Amino acid sequence: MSSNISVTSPISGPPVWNDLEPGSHSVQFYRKDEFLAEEVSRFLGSVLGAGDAAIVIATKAHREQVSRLMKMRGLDVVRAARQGRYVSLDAADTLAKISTGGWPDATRFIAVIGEVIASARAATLRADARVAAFGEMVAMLSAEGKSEAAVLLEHLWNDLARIHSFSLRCAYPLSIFSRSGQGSTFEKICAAHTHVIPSEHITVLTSDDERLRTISHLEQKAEALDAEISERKKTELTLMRREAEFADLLENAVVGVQQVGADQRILWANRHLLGLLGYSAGDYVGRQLSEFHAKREIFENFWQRLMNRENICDFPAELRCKDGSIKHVLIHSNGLWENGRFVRTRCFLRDVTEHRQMELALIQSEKLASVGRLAATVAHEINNPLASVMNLVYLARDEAASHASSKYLGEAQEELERIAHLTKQTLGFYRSETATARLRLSSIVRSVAGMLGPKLSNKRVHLTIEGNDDPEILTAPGEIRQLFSNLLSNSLDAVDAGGVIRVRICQALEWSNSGAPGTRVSIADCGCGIPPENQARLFEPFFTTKKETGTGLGLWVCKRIVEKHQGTIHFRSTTTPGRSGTVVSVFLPLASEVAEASIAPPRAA
Amino acid sequence: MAHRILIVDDERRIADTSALILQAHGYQTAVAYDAENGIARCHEFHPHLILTDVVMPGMSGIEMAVALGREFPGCAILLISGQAATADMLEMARQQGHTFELLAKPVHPTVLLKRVAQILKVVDAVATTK
Repeated sequence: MSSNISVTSPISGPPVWNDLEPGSHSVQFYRKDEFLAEEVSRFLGSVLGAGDAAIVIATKAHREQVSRLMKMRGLDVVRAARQGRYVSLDAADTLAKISTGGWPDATRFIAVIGEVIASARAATLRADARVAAFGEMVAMLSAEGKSEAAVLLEHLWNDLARIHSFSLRCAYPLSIFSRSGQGSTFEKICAAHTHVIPSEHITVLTSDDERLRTISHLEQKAEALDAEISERKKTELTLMRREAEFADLLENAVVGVQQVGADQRILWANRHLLGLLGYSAGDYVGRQLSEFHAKREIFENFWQRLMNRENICDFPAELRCKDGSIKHVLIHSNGLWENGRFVRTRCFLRDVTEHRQMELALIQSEKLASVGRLAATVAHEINNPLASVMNLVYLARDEAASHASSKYLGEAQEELERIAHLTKQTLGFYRSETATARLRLSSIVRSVAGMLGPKLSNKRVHLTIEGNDDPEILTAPGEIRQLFSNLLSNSLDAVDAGGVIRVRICQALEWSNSGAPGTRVSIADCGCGIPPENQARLFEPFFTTKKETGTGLGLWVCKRIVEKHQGTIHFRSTTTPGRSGTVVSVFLPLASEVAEASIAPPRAA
Repeated sequence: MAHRILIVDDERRIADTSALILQAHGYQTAVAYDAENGIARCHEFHPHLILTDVVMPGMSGIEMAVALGREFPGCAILLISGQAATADMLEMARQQGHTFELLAKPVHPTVLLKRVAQILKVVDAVATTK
C-alpha cells in the first residue's frame, strides 16, 4: 500500500498524524498503555468532537481509559454512545464472533464489522459522515502467538475498506515482537498498513535533529544487536558441537563412565560400562546402583565416602554382570554439590578382573615356588647331619649290648637311608647358581648317564645316546646336570627291568615362537606312561606319584632350570598298553640371559 | 701292615665317626678339620687314601686334592660332598687333567667301606708294579 500519510512537523512539539482520511489504515506501536490511551483518545476524539462516528474494539481496560480521557477533553461520550455514534466493543467477544476454528472468517468479519460501521455512520444522520475505528483484535491474536491469523485479519480489514469508507488504526505493544524470529511478522504487519506510527520513544521527539540522532542511534543499536546475535549463534553452535563431541568422547571412552543421582539411581552409563557388565541401557539405567554391587558393605562404604565429599581414587569393588559373573573394578568418583546439596556423582570405572586373576595366580605359583625352594635348601642342609647320624647309628650297632637294640638300630639305619635317598634323588646338584660355562649338552648327558651307570646295570636297562654334533651352549652347568639327572632318573624309574631308554641330541630351532637356534634333547622311554589326569600337574611342586621315594620337586626343578635358560620342556606320553611310554623333549637356545651372567669359575663356599 | 687313611671334613662329627668306623675295620686313621691342616697331616702321616669333603671354609677339598695329588702321586683321593656346586668344581678339575671320584653325601658306612676296600686294592696293585 502506498503511503499517503502527511506528517506535519511543527517547530516544536510532537508530530500530528493525519491518518483520518477514509481508507487510511495505520498501525500504532506502543510500550505503555497510558500512551496508547492518549493517542487513541486523540484519534477518536477528533472525529467524535466533529459529530462523526467512532468505533473502539479493545480490551475492557483500554476502552475505559480511552473513554475517560475523551470525557476529560470535554466530549460527551455517553451521549454519543446513546446516539449510536460511539460504539465500544470488547475485543475478545468480537474476535469470537468473527472467527471459526480459531481463524478469522472473511464472511463473518464483513457481516459483523460491516454492520457496525454502517450503523455508526447512520447514527450521525449524515451520509458523508466520517467513521474512525480503533481495533485491538490483531494485537490479541499476535500476543497469543497466532501471528498468521493476525496478518490475515489485517487483510480482512483492508478488504472491508473497499466496501465501507472508514479510517482505521490498529495498535500492537512492541513487547510482542521482542522475541527473535518475530522480524518477518513485524514486516508483514507493517506492509498491511498505509501508515506506521512508531512508539512513544520516537513520537515524543520534537525536532528533526532529535529524530535523526535517534535514528542513527537505533541503527547503531540494530547493527550491534545483529552482530551480537550472529556471534551468539556462532557460540551456540560451537557449544552444541563441543557438547556433542564431549558426549561422543564419554560414550566411546575405554573406561566405564556413569552418573548416579542422590537417590542412588543410575542416571546414565556409557557404552563401555554397559558392554563390560553385559547390560543394555534399559536394563541398567534407572536402577539402584547398589543392585549391581556384589558386596553390600563395600557399596555402603563407597557411598558413605562420597557423602563425606571425598575424592575417591582406585576404589576396588566387585560388580555383578548380567550373566551372573563378577567383574573387579577400580572406581574413581566424586560428587557434584550445589548449594551444599549433593546432586549426583560421576564415576569412572576400570576393569581389573583379568589383572586380578593373574595376580592371584601369580601369588599362588610364587607361594608354591618359594616352598619348593625352601624344600630344596632344607634337603641340602640335611645332608651333613644325616651323614653324622648314619655313622653314629652304624657305630652304635657295632657296640650294641643286646640283640634287640642291634635290631632297632638296624631299622633306624634303614629309615636314615630312605631320608638320604629322598634328598639325593632330585636335588643332589640343584642350587640356583649364576656361574656359567660354555659346553655341549651331549657331554653333560653322557656324564650324567655315566653316573647313573650302576643303577642302569642293576635294572638291566639299556640306554642309548645318539648325536654329539650339537653346538656349545652357555649354561649354568650344575643346573643342567641336575636337569638331565632328574629326567634320566625319571625314565629309569618308569621302565621295567630290561627296558630301553633312547636319548637323541641334535642342533635344532625352537618350534613355537622365536625360531631361535639351540639344542634339543629328547629322552624316550618305553615305561608305563603318564596318565592324562597327571600330565597337567607334572610341573607342580610336591606333585608325585612315587609315594615312597618321591619329593615331587624333580620336575618342578627341571622346569625352573629350563625357564632360567629360556628354553622349553614338553612331554608326550601314552599309557596305551603295548605301546606305552613317554618322550620328554628339552630345547635350550644358544643364547639366553644366562649368558649375561658372569662366567667366573665357581668359588667354594 | 694296616692301610693309612686321612679323613678331612669341617663337620667334625662326620670326620670323627668316619675315623672310628674305619678303625673298627682295621684301618689306621688320621683326621683334619680343614684342607690346610689336611695337607700338613698328609706330610706326617703319608696316607694310602684321603677321604675329603669338598666344600669347606678356606681351601676346598678339590684344591687340596690337586695339590696333594701332585706331591703324593701314589695316594688315592675320594671326594665326598653333599653340595650342589661340587659337580662343577669336579668338572673344572677334570678339564685341568685331574680326575677324582666323588661320592654323594650322606654315604652309608657299608658303601664307604666297600668302596675304600676297592680303592686300596688298586693302590696296592699300582704300588707292587712300581
